[in-house]
Amino acid sequence: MILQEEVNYDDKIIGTLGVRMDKSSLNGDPNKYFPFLKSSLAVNIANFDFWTVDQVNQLKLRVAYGETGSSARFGSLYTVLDQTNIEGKGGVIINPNQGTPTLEPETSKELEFGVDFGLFNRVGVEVSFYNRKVNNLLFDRSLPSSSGFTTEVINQADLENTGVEVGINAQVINTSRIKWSTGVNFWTTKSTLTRLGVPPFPVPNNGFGLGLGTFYLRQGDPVTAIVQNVAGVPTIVGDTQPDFQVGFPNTVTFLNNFDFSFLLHLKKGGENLNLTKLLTDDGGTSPEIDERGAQYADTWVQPAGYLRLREIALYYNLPSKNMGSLGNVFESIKIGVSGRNLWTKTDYAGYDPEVSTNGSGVISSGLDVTPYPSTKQVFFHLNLNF
Amino acid sequence: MRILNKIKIFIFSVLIMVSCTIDEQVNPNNPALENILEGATRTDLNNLVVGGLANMRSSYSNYVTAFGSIAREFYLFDADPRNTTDLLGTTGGLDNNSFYTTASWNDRYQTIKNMNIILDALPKADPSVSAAQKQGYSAFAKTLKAHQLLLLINAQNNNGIRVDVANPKNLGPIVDKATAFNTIATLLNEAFTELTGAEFAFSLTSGFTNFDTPATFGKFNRALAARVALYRGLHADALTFLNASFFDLNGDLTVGPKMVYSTAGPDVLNDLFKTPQQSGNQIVVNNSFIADAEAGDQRVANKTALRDSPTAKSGVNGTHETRLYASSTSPIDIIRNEELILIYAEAKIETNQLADAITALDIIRTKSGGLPTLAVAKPTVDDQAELRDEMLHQRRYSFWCEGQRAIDLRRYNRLNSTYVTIDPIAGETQIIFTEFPVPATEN
Repeated sequence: MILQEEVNYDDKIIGTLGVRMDKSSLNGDPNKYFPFLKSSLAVNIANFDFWTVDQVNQLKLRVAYGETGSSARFGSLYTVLDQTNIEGKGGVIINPNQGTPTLEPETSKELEFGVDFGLFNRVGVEVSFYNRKVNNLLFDRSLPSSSGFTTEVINQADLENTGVEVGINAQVINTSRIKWSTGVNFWTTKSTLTRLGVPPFPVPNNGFGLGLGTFYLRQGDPVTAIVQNVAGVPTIVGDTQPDFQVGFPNTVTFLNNFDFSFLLHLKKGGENLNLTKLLTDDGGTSPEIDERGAQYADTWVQPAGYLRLREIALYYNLPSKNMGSLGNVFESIKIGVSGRNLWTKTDYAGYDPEVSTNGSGVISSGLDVTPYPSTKQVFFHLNLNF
Repeated sequence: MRILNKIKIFIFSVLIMVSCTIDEQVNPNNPALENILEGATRTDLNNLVVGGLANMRSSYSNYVTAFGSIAREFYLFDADPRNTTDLLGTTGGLDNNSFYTTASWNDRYQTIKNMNIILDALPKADPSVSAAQKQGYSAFAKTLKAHQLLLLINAQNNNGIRVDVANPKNLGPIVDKATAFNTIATLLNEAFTELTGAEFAFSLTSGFTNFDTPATFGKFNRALAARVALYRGLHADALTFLNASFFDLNGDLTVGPKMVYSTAGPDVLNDLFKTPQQSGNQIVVNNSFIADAEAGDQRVANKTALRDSPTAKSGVNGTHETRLYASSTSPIDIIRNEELILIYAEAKIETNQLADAITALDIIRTKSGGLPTLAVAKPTVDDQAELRDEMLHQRRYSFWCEGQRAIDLRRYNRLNSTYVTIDPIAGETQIIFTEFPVPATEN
């Protein structure tokens, strides 16, 4: 069930209010409704008559609040038996995931406020702060496996994400001969486990255990922390979450028909668990090892910040007056060359700081066990428009 | 009113669905546990039996290779460096959240769970399951559970294990070694009693040929009881249990129930078989196993082979590799007559009946090792201490790469550098571990 209402006062004040009621067979009680509110308010100050500062052509204050819910994935409610086989004879074995019949949806409540402003009709700035609280977080918990079960999905945790996003875009040069627009996108986020209703545990099916380092859920810790046994005590030895990241997009149009663009990506801070290094050290193939001894590091956590040329491209638009008879056939012709990940500057010892053996989830990234690196790609373009 | 007029109201959507009632769901893809616990049929119970037989093989190779590595029987060279670093002590203590601690633990308790499901389901089973059949299921479940608990306490030793795990929401405490052994012995005895008058409504694998009726399965049960009694130092009990087992002093040494493997569809392979001369995944024999062998001991040639080229990893090396299993579908013994004869020999030594012990040891020497008798080869070996050394030496060569060596050494306080040869690794100090920690997730 959804109810929603939007109010717009002359593009000066815009407000939304809505509520939805969900029920799902994925919840423990399939017929219980869970309500989720959302509301937002934006005030376009520059649209009011009293605003007379011409240099600031846009000024908008906004605040938004939203609740969303997501139910557990299918199967989390049930304890089942799996098929197994010996000599072609079929049997069943207990599935190591214990069902939790009382699951509720996890709810996240996000409060975001921000300000957008434009200067001299050429510079746009957007600043947002957000705080997202996830209550009754659904997560896979490691169980004492002497129970016969290794995991269960439970609701008993809260998570808090706070973050800042700043976007600036500017038309630096805007003449008939040359146009240059640039921008800076800055973002940072931090996730903390604010409540955990069960004893701390290593995240199941992630990494290679506390001996080498793994994600570990413990109240008060960042969920992105890499934790390792140090003298038998699970201790934070790293964090995959970067301090901040910056994107730096640029587009230059020159000599009428040339487009040149590039995007630089800076990741400051953040660490990877470089188990590739463990393997090459053990195999004696790390470059710095010339004899055995002391090559077994205490930890394989390494800083994985980088500056990477994410994209670069140069295009030429063939002017229609130069097309000759082709002009009768084609509306426009564009040729060019572009590349991805062509250049990286990093102190990371592995061959790619951006690797992730287990995919890109929040608590699965940053694990380096001889994965495929991000590929360097070069494209040649020929666009013909009829 | 002017302002109100200026307010544009959009009702984007007012959607009220008169919604249906959702039925309580059951998982349509797999049988649910609660359905089996109420009114289990023979088919349900038989599936659980087969599941136990299949799952008792899971991570068994891990158990054997971890134990073999700490006792320096061999090294496992594979993709995980921890087999040749952590297990040898070059990185400090054993970790409580690494595969060598957790893999076998998890799978043993998963098998135990299957057996506990059988035991839980029996009182409320379908009326078509007779009392004699229930007794048969119960005896099987308790015997297999005891075997799995034995592997667990072997690994965790003084760190203890849980034995009461029937209720996952309220697990029993971690108990010490003596209590665990007591529980295991009790389970075996209960099962043995139940086998009298029991009926097997299930069929076992080909590995249990000749051990698949209540009477013959009982002989397997007593063989396990003899092993447990030996580990507890109850030598007179061990001899009693041997008499009710398939122990045969003059019989085939290889007789005994086995874990079987096949290439059939979703079945698994024997992971302790390693392709000859392969390097990336190989069980490399510790050089001392070759060096310490009595001249002419055919077990060395039967169980190991010279590599085309020696191999090294993490600073350890070897010239020989495993030939213990001929193929990836070769069965693995659970317990065999050869062990029963050696249990007999040991119990006789410890109860000071040395002539009987020498008879048994000579059988092992000649039949298994192709060696002359003690009177011919080592005529001076005749007192209790010397025969104990000889017995442990025979066990070392009879059970190489079967997860027994570390336990045998430990039982006699010999799992240390006085009795175990450590291959030096440049720049590293090593530790001989005696037991594995309780997994981190058990706290």
